Amino acid sequence: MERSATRVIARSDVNEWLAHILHHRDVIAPTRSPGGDTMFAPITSPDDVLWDFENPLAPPKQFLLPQTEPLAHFRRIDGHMHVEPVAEQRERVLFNVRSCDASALAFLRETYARDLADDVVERRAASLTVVTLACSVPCELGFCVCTDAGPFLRRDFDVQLTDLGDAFFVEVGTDKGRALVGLADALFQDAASDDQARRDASELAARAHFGGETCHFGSAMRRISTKRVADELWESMSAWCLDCGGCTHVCPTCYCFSVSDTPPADGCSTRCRLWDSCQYSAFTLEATGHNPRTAHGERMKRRFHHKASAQYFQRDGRVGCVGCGRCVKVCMGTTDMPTVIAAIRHGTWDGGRAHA
Amino acid sequence: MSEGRLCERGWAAHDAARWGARFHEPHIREHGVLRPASWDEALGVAAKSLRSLRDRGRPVGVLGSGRASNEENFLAVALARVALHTGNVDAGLRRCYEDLLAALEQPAAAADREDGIRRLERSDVIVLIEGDLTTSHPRVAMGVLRALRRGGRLITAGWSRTQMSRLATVHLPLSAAMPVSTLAALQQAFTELAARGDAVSAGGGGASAVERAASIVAESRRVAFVLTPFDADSVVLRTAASLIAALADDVAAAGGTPPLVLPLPVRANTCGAFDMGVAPHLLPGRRSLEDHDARDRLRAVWGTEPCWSGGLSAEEMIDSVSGLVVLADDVTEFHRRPDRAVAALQSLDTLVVFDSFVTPTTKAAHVVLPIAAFGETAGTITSLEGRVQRWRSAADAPHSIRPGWRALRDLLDALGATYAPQSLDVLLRDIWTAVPSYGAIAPAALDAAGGAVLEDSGAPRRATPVADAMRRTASRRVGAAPAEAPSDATADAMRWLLRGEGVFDWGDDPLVTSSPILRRTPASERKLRPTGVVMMSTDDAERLGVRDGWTIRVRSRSGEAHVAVSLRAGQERGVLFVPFAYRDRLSALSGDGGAVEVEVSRA
Amino acid sequence: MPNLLLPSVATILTQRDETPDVRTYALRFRDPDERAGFAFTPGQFLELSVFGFGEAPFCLASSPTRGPDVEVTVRRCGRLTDALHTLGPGDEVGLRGPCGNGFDVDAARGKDLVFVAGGIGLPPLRSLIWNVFDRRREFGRVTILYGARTPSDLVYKDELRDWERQADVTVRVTVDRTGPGWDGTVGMVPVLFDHVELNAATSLAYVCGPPIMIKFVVQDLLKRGFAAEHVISTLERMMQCGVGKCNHCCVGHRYLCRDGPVFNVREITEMWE
Ligand SMILES: Cc1cc2nc3c(=O)[nH]c(=O)nc-3n(C[C@H](O)[C@H](O)[C@H](O)COP(=O)(O)OP(=O)(O)OC[C@H]3O[C@@H](n4cnc5c(N)ncnc54)[C@H](O)[C@@H]3O)c2cc1C
Ligand code: SF4
Ligand code: FES
Repeated sequence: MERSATRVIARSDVNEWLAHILHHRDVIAPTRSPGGDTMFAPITSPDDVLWDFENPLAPPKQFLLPQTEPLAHFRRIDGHMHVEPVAEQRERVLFNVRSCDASALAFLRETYARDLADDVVERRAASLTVVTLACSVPCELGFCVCTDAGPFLRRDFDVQLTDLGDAFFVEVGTDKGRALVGLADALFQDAASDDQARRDASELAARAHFGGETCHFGSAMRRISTKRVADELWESMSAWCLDCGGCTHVCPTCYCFSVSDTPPADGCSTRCRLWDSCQYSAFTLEATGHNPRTAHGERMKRRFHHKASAQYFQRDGRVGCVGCGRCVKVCMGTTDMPTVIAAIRHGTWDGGRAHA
Repeated sequence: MSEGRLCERGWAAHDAARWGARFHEPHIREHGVLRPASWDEALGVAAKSLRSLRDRGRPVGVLGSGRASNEENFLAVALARVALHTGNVDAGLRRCYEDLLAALEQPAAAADREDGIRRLERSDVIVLIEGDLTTSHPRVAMGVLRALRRGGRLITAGWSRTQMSRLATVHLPLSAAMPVSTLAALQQAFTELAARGDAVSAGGGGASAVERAASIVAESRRVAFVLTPFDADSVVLRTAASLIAALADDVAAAGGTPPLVLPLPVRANTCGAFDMGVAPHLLPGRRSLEDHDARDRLRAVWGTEPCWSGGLSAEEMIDSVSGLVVLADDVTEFHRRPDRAVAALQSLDTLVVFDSFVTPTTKAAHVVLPIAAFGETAGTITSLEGRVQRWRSAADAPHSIRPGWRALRDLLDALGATYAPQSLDVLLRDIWTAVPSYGAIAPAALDAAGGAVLEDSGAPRRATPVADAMRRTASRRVGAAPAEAPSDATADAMRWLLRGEGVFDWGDDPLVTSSPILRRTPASERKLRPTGVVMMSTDDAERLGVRDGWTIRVRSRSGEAHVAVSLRAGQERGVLFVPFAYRDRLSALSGDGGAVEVEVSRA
Repeated sequence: MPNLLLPSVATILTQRDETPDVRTYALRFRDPDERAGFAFTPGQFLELSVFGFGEAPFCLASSPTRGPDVEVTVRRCGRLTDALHTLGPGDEVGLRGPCGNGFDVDAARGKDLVFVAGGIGLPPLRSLIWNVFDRRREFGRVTILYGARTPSDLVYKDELRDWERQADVTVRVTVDRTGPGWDGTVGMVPVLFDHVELNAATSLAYVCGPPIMIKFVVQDLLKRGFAAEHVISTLERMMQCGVGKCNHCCVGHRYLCRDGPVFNVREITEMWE
């Protein structure tokens, strides 16, 4: 692919661009729900899109991996079973996605393409165009600098927007992005070197925002990968987790699933893929009642091994955490990512008091 | 649900409603079998049979539910008091919550507007009487963790070493033979300590666990008591609550901040159902049946002179009425003897069930009116701390399933009742008129994140005149009875006690049992181990030579049974606990509940 | 394959009850091309769908040397297997696979082979055993040790007799608890080691069965001088996708459905999470 093109669009023109996009594609963007929360949802008018918002608690992962995803209908016709794949083919644009979430979508896309490729997910990823809004003002709980997933992106976006006040700096990362800009090409000017400078200054300022103490994966990852985290540490940390599965549900990179059929009615049923959570005790429960991972601490160890071990890092080429901070917000206990990573680094657990 | 947080059920069961076996249209029983019918036909049949029973003076009743919204429960009360003219209205599992409430009275100066969980999070010490709080009330467990993280301390009392007890500074094991004796001892220790005025010395070396717990309470400024329905026995719950109330009074009298006392209901909307008047001895707003103000309001809203008399409890109704209306519930999930409850339902003249899930109760119905499940319909619920929250419909109910409030309204209409609100907004306004504490909330506040808090929340909302007397006698009655020492005899010569555990509901909730993800979790073990289990201590298992999952033979004076054991560390020795979900499996041994002596051997 | 998770329809040809709760089904892909194109190695497994009840992994119990139809031997122990046991010849199920790594048959050429199975652990070994018999010259001596809880829990009873009649094959069977009509060995599988001669230096051992049995048998083999690399076993975990995506079967970063289920004992001892 050729060098990323850089453009600029005036703030006052953005809605017109969006109107063009809406004309051709379904658009999903952070918007205000009837209950007043911020959430990713399909929008019908450019005015629905939020530009100044707290990243929604539910990540946009559901648009790549729906929580309940019908895979096929089974129908009995004339005594024979017919397997009908569920074809869902819609060109969609995810607009104003945060950097961390865009990295997470790339992580998921790569995961499903690796080894045996999951063509359903691949197709959905291919029909998804991701427009990110770089985080000039990083969010309160995020730690994306530690996971190389923000606040500004160098990869993983189709289009990256940076708010320059009166205008947006537009980086085009892929052909999909180019096509999206092409829908209203006249609205975009080529970026001047001054624009580039303002964008770079914004990134520097954003990075500086994080300060020194965030979430150091490196040393924790070394400990996890070399088995130097005592089982007792997992055990004592697990007493502070309520097993609710919230962290895995709001995590933009968690992708454990189960497969289940809806109860048959009139010879028909639907096979669905459903989000599951490795934090649930039945995740590894076998039909005989045998469960190799009963201890709560082992389940917790599993989660962090998957997120932050060299073994997985090698396979994935990324940390399994993008630093969005959602688990910090949602955890009913005190065992969110930064707190646990800190405990692993220090080798001791204080119930999360240091992070209180 | 609370502050945007959900428990396991909320995360994983969001569209479980699509997984369960459901009635997608109304059904009526004809020649012994249920057949599909139109709404008009089904409502007509239901109304006709109920009217005829009422007109012939036969007893009828209505069961509301802690699984239904406030609006649905309010209409269930109207169905009973207005349309059927009876005081027979109640909900399963209301009783065990009320057992806790009955003995409690808010200690003197706690007219504090903060809601319960917020106060809990800021406590210096929490005394928790639990079954297993992390699974029964995760949202409250979260509050406990918050308090601990802030440096607070925890004292647990319970049957086994739970997750919470592992975090406790002091754990007080309850004795199966005398469950409240530990609490009595705690109260007594505190009284003595307060009388001597030297909290610190009692905490020193050589002090018993009870003494250490008492001194921790004595030296703490902000004290919280959390009471779960840790036992299925009504008397035990009432006595325990009385003792805690007495202890709370003592703490307040000793000069600290008046403590928080948080009794926990079993189901999501038990508090709301109670507020709406789902109780045979109360009117909406938890007012007494004679309360003139409450009567005036209800007269105005309902447009008629309803029935003001008291009625039967849920279990009494199931045993003795001729016609029953059940709202969003299954009797096998709360009745002491599920097998008998189903038999009783089958012998009813008329059973009308508002529920779309296929359960033993809907299967026994004469008329099934399928209504939307939680999450498929709009409405409000009231949390245990008195937060009134709006529930929005996240998914549409499939087929011709109706919102519960509409189906209930339609039955009121079909019965020709004076009261049948035409929209959800009207209904909400009526509740606001009928129940003053709700009326005090600005409807817009409901839309705020987390909902609005009732004025008098954070505290049990009813003080009974008996409470005082009860708590005085309770401490005298149980005195400081010594906890039963574990028997040291060899396993085969041992005397065993078979005993029911506290009420635990969520493993039976249709949203759990029909969710492909959750139905396999141990909390819904009933489905995993259809033949049942009893809990045994790991020490006993070793002495008896059995492993987890093995079958034992249990014999009592009234019978014998084979049942699998599930091992639990830190549980009292010599006791077999029967989880609430399996209470019927062993009912042949224990008669009607309570603890019985049994003999145990390897099968 | 049209889709990674989409099953193909297959018809049940025959069924045979092995024990009161174990049944063997012969299955044929409905689509002739798919049937012709289906290739697998012993030790691999299928994801079998009972429509409306989901899918579950079952070892291929037949051998690729015996034509394109496949067999699975299923013990009834849950929702799906209950539903499967209500089906019979002519009924349709779904198949997806083959999944997993399978045994490295070529690496076994020229070796003496020891098969040790407990209970429902025999099916995957049967696939390999048939394969070996069909290419008999390529392999050395064959020893088959098999145990079950009671005589009525033994699967493939008739075949065990056939196998015994083959040249250069030793078959020994034991039961934990004796039952009517049983006059053979009584005791756990390891007791059979005293009834046979094994040459650790020239042999490969294949061990399948319940975890506890695998543990003891492996200990015994190592004690008898087998190198850990020469003891090969299969591991079992809860599985959902069978293709390395759902994370149910992970042990550490190993995916039993992709990297396994076949591992040698050195690999197993090095596995951790
Ligand atoms: C590689 C492999 C090969 C197997 N080969 C055989 C065989 O040849 N014969 C045989 O009888 N059994 C075999 N099993 C075990 C068999 O898969 C389980 O007994 C079966 O899944 C039980 O499913 P159920 O639907 O009846 O139980 P449920 O309790 O309804 O299980 C629900 C789902 O969980 C998963 N699951 C539950 N238990 C297991 C388990 N032990 N292993 C893997 N997934 C599980 C399945 O996806 C299953 O559909 C094998 C398992 C594995 C991993
Ligand atoms: S870590 Fe926190 S969010 Fe995750 S399961 Fe435990 S309590 Fe829930
Ligand atoms: S079974 Fe899904 S990853 Fe192995």
